[in-house]
Amino acid sequence: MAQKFTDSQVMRAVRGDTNGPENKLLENLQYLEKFPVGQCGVHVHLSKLQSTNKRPAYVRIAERVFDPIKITHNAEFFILDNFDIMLTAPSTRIADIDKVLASVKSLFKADPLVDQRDGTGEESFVTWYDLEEDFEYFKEATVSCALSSKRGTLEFGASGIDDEKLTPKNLDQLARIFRKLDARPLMRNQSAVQIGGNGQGQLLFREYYVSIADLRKKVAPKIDLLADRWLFQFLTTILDQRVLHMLRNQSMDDLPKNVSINLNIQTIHSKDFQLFDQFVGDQAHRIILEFQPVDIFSNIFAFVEVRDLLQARGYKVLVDGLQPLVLDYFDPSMLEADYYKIAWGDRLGGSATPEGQKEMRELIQSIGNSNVIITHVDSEEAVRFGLLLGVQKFQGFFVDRLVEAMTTKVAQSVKGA
Amino acid sequence: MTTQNQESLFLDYVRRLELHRQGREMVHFHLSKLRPFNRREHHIRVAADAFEGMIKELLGQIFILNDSDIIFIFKTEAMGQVEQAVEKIKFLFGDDPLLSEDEAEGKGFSTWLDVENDYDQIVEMARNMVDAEKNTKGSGGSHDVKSALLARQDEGERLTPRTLDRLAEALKAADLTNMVRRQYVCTIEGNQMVPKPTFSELFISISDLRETLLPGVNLTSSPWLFQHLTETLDRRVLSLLGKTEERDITGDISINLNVATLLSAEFMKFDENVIAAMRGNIVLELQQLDIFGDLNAYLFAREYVKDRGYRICIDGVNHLTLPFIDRERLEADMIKLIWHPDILHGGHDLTNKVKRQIMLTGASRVIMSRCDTEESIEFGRDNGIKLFQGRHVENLIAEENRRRNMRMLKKNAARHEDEAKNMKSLTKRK
Repeated sequence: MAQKFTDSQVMRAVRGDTNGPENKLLENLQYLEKFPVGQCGVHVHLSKLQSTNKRPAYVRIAERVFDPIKITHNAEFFILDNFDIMLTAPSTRIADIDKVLASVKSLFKADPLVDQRDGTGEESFVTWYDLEEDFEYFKEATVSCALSSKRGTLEFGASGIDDEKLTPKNLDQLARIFRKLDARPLMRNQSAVQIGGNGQGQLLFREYYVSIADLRKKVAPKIDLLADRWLFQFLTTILDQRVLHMLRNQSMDDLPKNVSINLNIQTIHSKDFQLFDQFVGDQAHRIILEFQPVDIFSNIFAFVEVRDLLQARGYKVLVDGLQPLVLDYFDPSMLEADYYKIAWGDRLGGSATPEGQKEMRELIQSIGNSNVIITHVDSEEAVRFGLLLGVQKFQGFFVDRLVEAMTTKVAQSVKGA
Repeated sequence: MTTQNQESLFLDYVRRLELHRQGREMVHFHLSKLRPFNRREHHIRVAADAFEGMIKELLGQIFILNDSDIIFIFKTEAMGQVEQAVEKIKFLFGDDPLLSEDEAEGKGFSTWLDVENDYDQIVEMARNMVDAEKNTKGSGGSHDVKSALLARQDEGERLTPRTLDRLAEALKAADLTNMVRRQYVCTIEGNQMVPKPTFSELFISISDLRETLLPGVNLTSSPWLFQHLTETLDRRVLSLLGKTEERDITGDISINLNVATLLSAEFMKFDENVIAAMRGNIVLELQQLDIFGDLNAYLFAREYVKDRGYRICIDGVNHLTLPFIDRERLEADMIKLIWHPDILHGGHDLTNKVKRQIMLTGASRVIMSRCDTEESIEFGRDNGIKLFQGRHVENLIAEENRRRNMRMLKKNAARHEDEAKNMKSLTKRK
């Protein structure tokens, strides 16, 4: 969907936005070209952070760390739209800059970028330039950085800047619309599969969910539903009702063999769930209920009660949305659920070093490999990596394609028979 | 009300009687079964007065329960006096059907128990009362529609987006200064349980806020809307603290903030206004929920505020989430563990687990919070915990202040006497 732009088109855009940081950066470059003596340049590659760490609030705070440098004479500081930081200052300030960079690094120390080195052994997080000696390199880096920053803005847009935020006021209206919503056209499902030793896939369950993007398009195109996570969580409690209602309005026979749905813990105590429970009857073993960590830890006593209640009825309980990072901090299996979903992300890929891999394999083993599902699997590589870690259960776009292939094969063999 | 309720005091007392059961009796007056008109506050007060003499003589202890029942535990030697008091009370309620002829002698009005022989039954009863009392204060979770409705009446109207919006509007104009409360975190030393404050937590009283701005609404009925509210409140607290004169904030303080707030422009502004030297005196309390909700944001915010010189305490940890909180890895200075009677009475396994986790966390880094009873402090001290917070701690502080005043008074009185003596001798000399 994103439109492609040539370098000269992008450069025109940079120049056109006179007060934009990219243009200011290039203006400063022209000035320094004449007076490079005794100057150094620093490029902090915040654009290379994991997406979860590229947040405006983080960058605002990182920017403040530079305050003592910014106010010194002759220092120039730029934050580009892609979050990269460019700084030039008299070389006498190197020690001060180094101190600031150490602080910035420690802010982002949960991100693998901080410890990464490129092929030549240089730090990936920051690049230093001696403007007196390497002005050409600096110029090249600066121009290409300005271009790529602007290109990002042009191609993907300054995302959601104009959107209305979710507030208690518009939430009130939305909640009313949601309560009357026909969820059927917005329902999607995604398969989770088990991959055996022979590489053959087997359908594990289908997760039913409401597509938030489509929902937004339908009921609130102008509102950023995810802008406030607590208010969004509140909306999901209403979605729970709609999903349960929708499932109840068909027959259990029409549903796939195993079905999973995402619910709030509070919903289990609602009338809607009671009705759903009646509808499910003696088929509870076919249903997997997924809960979010934030919900679980907001009232762990409620979770424990609900978990025991559900498991006793025969339902399977799943803890959804675990970031690989959390495995460094706690053992999710203490939650005594049946399954744990870990999101495939940079960090799982980051544990590509032999010892990182060993550690991750151990962690997954201690949770129980058969209880772990790796989600957001978008490539074959992710599956291969997961198998290496001892995981057999997967979900994600790549899995969707696998399942599609599986079903066509089955369809063909049925046809053939 | 900040005092401990009578049910738990009763349970406490009964537990302490374990080694002194002999020669004690208990009588339980079921005043809750009286007609409502006959059990108004003054009825109960007058009935309780009948035991006053014996209480002063240290012959017995009275408990007036929430449902108006009265329990009196006394030394057998006072039996005569107790019988007199009972006659007085029966007379007081003589008009009520409960005391009609066929009931009067039966178990309807009063139950008598022998503490030595019926001890287990009494403990059981006290425990049930404490549980029941807790449940009426709302924990919910029932599937029964009627009881849910009743509970809702009790808990108040549900918080909805609309009421939240109203509240947010009202908050803009409200003066929160007089809703700021302070509770001390203390070390408690010696057999005398002398509390010594190390810092105080400043917070906005949610119940005051509710009474003032949205009477009848239960602000915690939706966890998510409540979380949103706390973020709104954070910003108000920060601007409030930013405005207060330095001399108003005495000693080390702690404030409860959301991680999202630490990352906001409001906190940045607050931080700019705080004198650098003061930051070390400020403890930022972050909810455990925020760590599980967005670990990444916690890690970032932690680096940020620690670098600025603040200390971090993870708040809201309970005995079930304690194993999930790796304080050292999370690089938090302290954690606040919420006291729960189950820690002591929920079975050996749980008790030992909690003890182990306290060791792992580092006992000196744990603050035992919501200490409503003496046993919470005892358990903490037995396990190396140094810092305590809660109603019982507040009571100890009040007691200590009384003692100090008493000592002062005595000292003054003694000095007075001395002076008077001197005067006398002076006049004599004259």
